[in-house]
Amino acid sequence: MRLHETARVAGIEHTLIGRVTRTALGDETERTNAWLLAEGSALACDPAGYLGILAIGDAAAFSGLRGAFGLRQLSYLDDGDVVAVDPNGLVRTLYRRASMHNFILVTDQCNSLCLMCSQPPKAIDDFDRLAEHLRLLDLIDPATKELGITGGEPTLFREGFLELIARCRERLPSTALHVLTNGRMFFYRRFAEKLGRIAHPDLVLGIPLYSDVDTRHDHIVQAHGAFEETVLGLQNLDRHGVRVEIRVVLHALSIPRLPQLATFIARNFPFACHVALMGLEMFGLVHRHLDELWIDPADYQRQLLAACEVLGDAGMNVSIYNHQLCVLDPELRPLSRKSISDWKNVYLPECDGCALMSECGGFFQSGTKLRSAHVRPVGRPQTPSNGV
Amino acid sequence: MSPYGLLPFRFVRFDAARTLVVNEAGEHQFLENDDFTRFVQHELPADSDSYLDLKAKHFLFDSESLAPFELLATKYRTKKAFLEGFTSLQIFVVSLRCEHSCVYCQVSRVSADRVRYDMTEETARRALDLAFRSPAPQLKIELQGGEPLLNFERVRQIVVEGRRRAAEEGRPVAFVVTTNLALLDDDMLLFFREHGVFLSTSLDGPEELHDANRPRPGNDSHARTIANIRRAREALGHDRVAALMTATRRSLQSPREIVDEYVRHGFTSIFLRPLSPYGFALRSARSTGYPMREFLDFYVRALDHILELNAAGTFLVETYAQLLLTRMLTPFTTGYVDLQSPAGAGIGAVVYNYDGDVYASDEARMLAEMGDTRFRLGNVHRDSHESIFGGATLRTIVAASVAESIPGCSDCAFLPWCGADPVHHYATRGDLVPHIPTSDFHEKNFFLFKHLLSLYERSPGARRIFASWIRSGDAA
Amino acid sequence: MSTITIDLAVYPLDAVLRACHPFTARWYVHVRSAGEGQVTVDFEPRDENKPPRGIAGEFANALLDARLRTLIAAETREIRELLVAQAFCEADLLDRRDVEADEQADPRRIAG
Repeated sequence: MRLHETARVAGIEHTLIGRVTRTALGDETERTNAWLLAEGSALACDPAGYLGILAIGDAAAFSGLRGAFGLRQLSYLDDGDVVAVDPNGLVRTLYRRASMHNFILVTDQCNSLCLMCSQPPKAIDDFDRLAEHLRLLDLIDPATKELGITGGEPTLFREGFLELIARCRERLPSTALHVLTNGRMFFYRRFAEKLGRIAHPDLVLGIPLYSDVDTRHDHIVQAHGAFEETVLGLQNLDRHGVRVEIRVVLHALSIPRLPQLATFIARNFPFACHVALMGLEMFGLVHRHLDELWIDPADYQRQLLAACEVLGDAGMNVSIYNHQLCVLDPELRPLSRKSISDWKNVYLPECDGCALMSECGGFFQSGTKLRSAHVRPVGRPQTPSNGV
Repeated sequence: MSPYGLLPFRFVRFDAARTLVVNEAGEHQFLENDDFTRFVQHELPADSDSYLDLKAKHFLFDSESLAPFELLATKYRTKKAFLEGFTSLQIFVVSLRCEHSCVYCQVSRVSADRVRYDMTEETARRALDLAFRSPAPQLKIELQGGEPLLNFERVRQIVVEGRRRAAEEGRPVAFVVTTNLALLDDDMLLFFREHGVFLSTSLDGPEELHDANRPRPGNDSHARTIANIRRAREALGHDRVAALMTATRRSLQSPREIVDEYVRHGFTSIFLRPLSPYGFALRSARSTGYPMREFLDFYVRALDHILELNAAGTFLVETYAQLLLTRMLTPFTTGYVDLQSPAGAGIGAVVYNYDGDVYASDEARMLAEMGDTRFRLGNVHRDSHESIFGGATLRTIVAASVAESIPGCSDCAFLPWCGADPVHHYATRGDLVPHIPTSDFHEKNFFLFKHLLSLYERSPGARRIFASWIRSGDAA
Repeated sequence: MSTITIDLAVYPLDAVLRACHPFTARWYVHVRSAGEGQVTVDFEPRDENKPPRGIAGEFANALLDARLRTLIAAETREIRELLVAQAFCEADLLDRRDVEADEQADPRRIAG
């Protein structure tokens, strides 16, 4: 869980970002980068030298100290988590050591406007967030296994994006980086070359491709020329040694030619390290285009099977995300990944008694109203009696 | 009608109802004949499935977008990637001696007591010098004969020396010994095990057939082969021993039995090969030879049986089909030198004979043994790397081996999947350039492309099996 | 022997010759000039004892396909040559200024 809260602040003139600690820190530098947590009225140690205080109690109890006060909850925070405090009182958890799904939302800007966008962009210049992201990278625990880089469209920061990747390599050399990007900026070959030269040890770019036909892809992403840019981008990235994953969101516009798209991927991008076939998230812009996009997943199993066969025959790694197991053809269940992240999973009353519940990702919270008409519990496999 | 332009492709009338189009990168599409006509007349409707398929597969373009061109160029380069390594297959003929008298033998056999037909230490060293001049990122060194085990100390020298040099350079090298296995002993097995050597042998079929094709003193070739395959597998590992067969006229009667023999002895691949028109096969053509049509009948029946076995759970790959399917259905090419354009002779593979003479292919060496030295590239004792690989002989061969400019090939729909074999054509009709309408090379490949494609289209079961074969191979 | 007369205004000589080639498996094919813009093609069976039948129809179809191939080859020749050259060349043969541009300059305005 990532919590945002509004608190009362004192002594915060610009955003401060630091690691959280409940106990005293021995190292002076570490103290200057740390928030001292106060769940009660007393502090664990002398607050001198620390970045500030995060307290449940009132500022009055901690007179003269810098920090955020009157917070409702602190118990979810672990030592090493990273929290930002803004001058307006907003307290944001940027990183949690216990989470398997940490990510940096680089920017709210995007140069595409996908019909089903679940993170609708904003028309603002938020380039100044780069400093915050770089600061965050300095504070994240290097033992972190994976980190996502998302947006909006992260590459819009151009050199800033490259700086982020380079900083990751430098500070977090053992952390696998997964970047979500439309890949369009890599139409410029030299941009791909620069990224390749950073030589990050474990970087994958997840790039969506929604059709084998240029006009159809462009329509889905609502950007003329996007197909050409993305396709050339994929080539340029491979040419310069950057690993790519291809992502397809499954809906009424991408399903009809899904097997042909699979063939297109297998013939043109055999170097892709992974293909992700993703169920539609009922969140964001999709609601404006429901007529165009909605299709019951149970109704597209034939195309999905055909596409997975093509990709499997070509020796490519395929995963299916965001589908309930009952709705998938049994042959496709092995490809399904329990992907809905831990803070979004729910199950429905009709799931009761399902033998596959523990392997199934369930639903997005947003996805429980409009979903397949075929959700049903899957029966237990027959077990032989008397232990034969 | 929205205007569109054609991208380069070739076509063939596949059957009564359909035309097959194949683009420059080897991607294919079936079209109903009417659709094909509309397509080439620029009258295909832009919203039709055919139009979208042809656009996505790069048979037509309808905008200024760079994407089709860039993707096609990359795919074309990938298909010709075999050129990058130059000579990655280095064949050493360590002895001409052999104790078998196989009816189709590709070697002018010499009886086992003539020591002067063995490769000397110095020749082997010089040949290794040349071999390691190759720029290929990895090398495969194949030791052949005659029967290479008759000159085992040379085998030992080449493997040990080869591994030493490879380790120095950090370049991977694989060793294969092509042997009838009859003379295999424990010392040899120990050596092969220590150095990770692969063995390739001949298994023509069940005992009676195998022994009839491959006589030796005692007429026990089959028994020895089977026994030694077992010994070799125990010592080296099951997958370190491969076998192939050569089909004589006698073999053509027994497709199922030959396949079953391979299954019986635990092989996971079989290479169904027709006779080559060289060596003793030419002399015994009347009794052992046959028209290509008959081989293809045999092949179809054998392949049917192989597919049945696969469907029932026995994994068995037919190697030639695997090669063709890889070229047809994947973006990749294969390292098989006899089916490349330009042909691999001399530029993908090279042969060092026991006497130090260098040849573009085993077939070229055969011709020399029969008196025609036209395709000798040089000699390791006398000639430089430059004159061997840059000389007129090799250039002549290469110039004739570009299928894209051979009449009958240049228009052929299957061109991107096929190749050229100039020395074979020279041996069969006296010209490096084939006469395609009467060429057995053409007849075989053209038939097999159609046959495999038909199976692939008609049968989801065959498609699954073919896909498993492709995945189990290693494309170039 | 079968003789077929062809109007070169309809089928260029290149197409005629390409169409003839596959038939040389079973026939000797004689191509001769026949006056203004015409050629004759004679088919003489290789095996006297087994003269193949239906040559005229097969050949007519072959001519059509050969003509088509000539047209397609002509239409796609330039692209094909560029393609092959591009595949083997390190440098860019097309006007690809945009692709080699700096992402900061973004001449194509990909960033919007």
